[in-house]
Amino acid sequence: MFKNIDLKYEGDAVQQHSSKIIALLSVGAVLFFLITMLIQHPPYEGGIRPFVENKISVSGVTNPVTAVLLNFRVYDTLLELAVLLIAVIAVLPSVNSNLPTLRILSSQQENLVVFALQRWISPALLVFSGYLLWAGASQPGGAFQAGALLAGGCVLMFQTGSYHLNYTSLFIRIALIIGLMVFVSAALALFITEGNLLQYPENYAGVLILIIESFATFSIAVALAALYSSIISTSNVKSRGR
Amino acid sequence: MNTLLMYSVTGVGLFAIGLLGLIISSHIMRKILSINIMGVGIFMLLIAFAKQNGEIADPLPHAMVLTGIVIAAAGTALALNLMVRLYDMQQKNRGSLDDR
Amino acid sequence: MIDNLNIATLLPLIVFVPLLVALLVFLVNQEKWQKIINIGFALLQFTIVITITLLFLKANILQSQRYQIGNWGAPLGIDLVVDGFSIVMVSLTGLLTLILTLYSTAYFSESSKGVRFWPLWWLLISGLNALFVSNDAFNIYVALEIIGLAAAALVALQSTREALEAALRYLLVGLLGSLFYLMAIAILYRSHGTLDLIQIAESTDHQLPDQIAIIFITAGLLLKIALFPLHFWLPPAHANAPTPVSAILSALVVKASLYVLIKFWFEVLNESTTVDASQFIGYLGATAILYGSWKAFQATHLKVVIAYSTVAQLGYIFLLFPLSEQAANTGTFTGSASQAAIYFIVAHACAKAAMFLSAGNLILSQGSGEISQLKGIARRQPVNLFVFAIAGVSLIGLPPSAGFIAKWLLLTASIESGQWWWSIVILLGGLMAAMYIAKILHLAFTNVENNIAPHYPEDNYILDTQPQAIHWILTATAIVLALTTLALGINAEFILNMANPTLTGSTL
Repeated sequence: MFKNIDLKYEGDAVQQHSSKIIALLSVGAVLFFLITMLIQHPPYEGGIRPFVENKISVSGVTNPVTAVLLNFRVYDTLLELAVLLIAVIAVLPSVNSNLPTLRILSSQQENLVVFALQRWISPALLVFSGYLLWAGASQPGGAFQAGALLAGGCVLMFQTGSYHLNYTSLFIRIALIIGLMVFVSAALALFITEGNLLQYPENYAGVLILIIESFATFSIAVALAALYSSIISTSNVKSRGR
Repeated sequence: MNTLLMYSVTGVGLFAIGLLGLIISSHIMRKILSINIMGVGIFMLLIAFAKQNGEIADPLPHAMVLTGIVIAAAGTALALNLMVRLYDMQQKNRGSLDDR
Repeated sequence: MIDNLNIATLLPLIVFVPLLVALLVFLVNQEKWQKIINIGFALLQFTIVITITLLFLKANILQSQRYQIGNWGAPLGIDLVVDGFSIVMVSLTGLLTLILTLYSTAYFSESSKGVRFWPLWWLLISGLNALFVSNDAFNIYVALEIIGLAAAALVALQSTREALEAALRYLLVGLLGSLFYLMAIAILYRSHGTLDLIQIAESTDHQLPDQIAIIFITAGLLLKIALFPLHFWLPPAHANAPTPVSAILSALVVKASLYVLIKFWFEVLNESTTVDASQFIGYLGATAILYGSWKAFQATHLKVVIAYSTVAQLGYIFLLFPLSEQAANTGTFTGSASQAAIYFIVAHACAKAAMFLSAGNLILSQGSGEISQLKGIARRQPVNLFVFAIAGVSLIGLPPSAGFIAKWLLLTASIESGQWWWSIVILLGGLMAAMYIAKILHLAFTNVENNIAPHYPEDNYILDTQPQAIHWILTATAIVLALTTLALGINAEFILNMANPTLTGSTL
């Protein structure tokens, strides 16, 4: 019905279908009920905040969001890294190529501004993402934010057109899975030593969280960069885009 | 109506706009964008009611939003990749731009 | 040493072992190492699942102990719990993992697609297991996303145009369904302050937020289960995927969303559902049975027939909703209608997987999936056709197959509860299933007298490939699944005891 795969560039923006009115009315009804619910029923008092305040001293970090994300509900974070990995594996080129991991092509610099920006800002990006990773323990920050920033730096790199990563090489493959591998190994090791999955020992909780986060940052950065590269350069069309 | 309630209503409104866009848009790119808007609407609702009682925000919805952003990014990337591959396939077979 | 093993401590392993295998198999790109890793870990996973099931049966409890990850406890942390229904799904997943992994090692041995297949496969298995043991609403959301993304990526593996379109459609529908579910749990958390399913069940009331939440959950999950009229994405996706992927999609992936829907509808938000809504879903299910069977009869490609048959068979399970409202215990998922539903899920999973595997073998050997090309295949591939016939017998509901027991339980439940009109639909559905199964078998057994030019219809689903010889493992695994279907038809007490251990004296 409304799931025709339409890729025409200059086609209609909106389907010329009479069911537009029905869709508008039904979505309007949904919106009405949701707003009614929001106004009439106030949210629950506190949520899990009292529990967090109780246990945050033993969690190894002081920021409550990081504590929830990387200690209390770390199982969800682990599965979420698996989701990201699924997306990356699905978009990798299907044929393993033997090119070196990183090729630096010295193509003519058409876009001097991007090139200069990339050269000047990359060191700052590296330092700042490291800071984000470190500061995650006490302020908003952490693995995902740092990884996303690094990936943004990689996007800038690719925009200059002179860098080319081979995502099927061994190094990149290791880099992609190292985050989840460290996570799963830590989980299983803690399963054996502490008797419970992902139960960090009290003294080492902070250090363990930092180690896991560091590897996760690296993996997330490479994964996001791989996702970006796969969309801008499909293997069929090499001359289009960068 | 206090500010946080207004944020909640905005979040719900974004969800509805995204849903409408998903149903009536014809191009796949717009559908993917609509799904993203729906996701952002839910995230806004989550963060808005996290702060509604008390000065310190409830950290669990914040963690849910962080996880949700990564999942939405992964899903969008996969959808975009499939769309681009389909488009390239269409360009190569110049005979028919029709999909069915 | 067996006594020291607790069910709860083994639960996380069935999630983490496939994760580990996925990472290993992604790292090691070599063909022969991958084979060893795959088969070895499939056996390990199967052993762990068998252990958990046996421990659960021995303990004879309604619900296992909660496994509190990190020892924090809900609502701060995430808990893992299994009850009768979950154990049935976990063991079903374990069995299908082993058999389909063996099938896939032979199926992908010649093709280069195996490199991308295996990590995605193991991640899908891990996501399925994570879903069935979880007791936390947001954890279920993440598991649903793992399953949805991995399944869509697996459908796109063939890289043909139809496969990519089907995968894109499946992905968008899956994301929409998950977003509805996420909105619902946002509303639930806003009202109850906890994400743990059992705690939500304890603090629920019949107010507007819970009603809106169950509507959103139902809408989102019905999209993912492909109930009529939201089924449009299923036939192309299941028909264009590689054979083992089609098998697990029809057998387990749609059942995962069904499991979550049943959990929320019957156990968590029980008071918020109305009788009228259950009747409405029942009517949609009845329409699915009739419409799906009719489209299956009309289809010209073998895999499309089987995919529409899945749409029809899922309709049977939705008859559970109207039949359960009148049952004695509405608080938990017990009663004769729920026994019928669980049995149906297991029977359909085994039969549909067997059917897809044998159909895949037939298509490989013939080089084409068009039904008109399969004339006289009984002489060339007797064993695979036999498996197909047994699976068809289970779908129709003839004894001694598991499908017969499932239909019998459904008929009994519908007559007991006084809603006799569902029995007509069930019997009619059986007749229509006989129609499309008989059509294929009739074509398979006819003698090829003269060379008829192949007739290509306008829908060109799967590209024709060269006919190949079938590896013996492909046939053997299909036989094992067919025999399982027969075995479950002869011994019904096994599954029913697993599902409701304290309920002695079933309706048989």
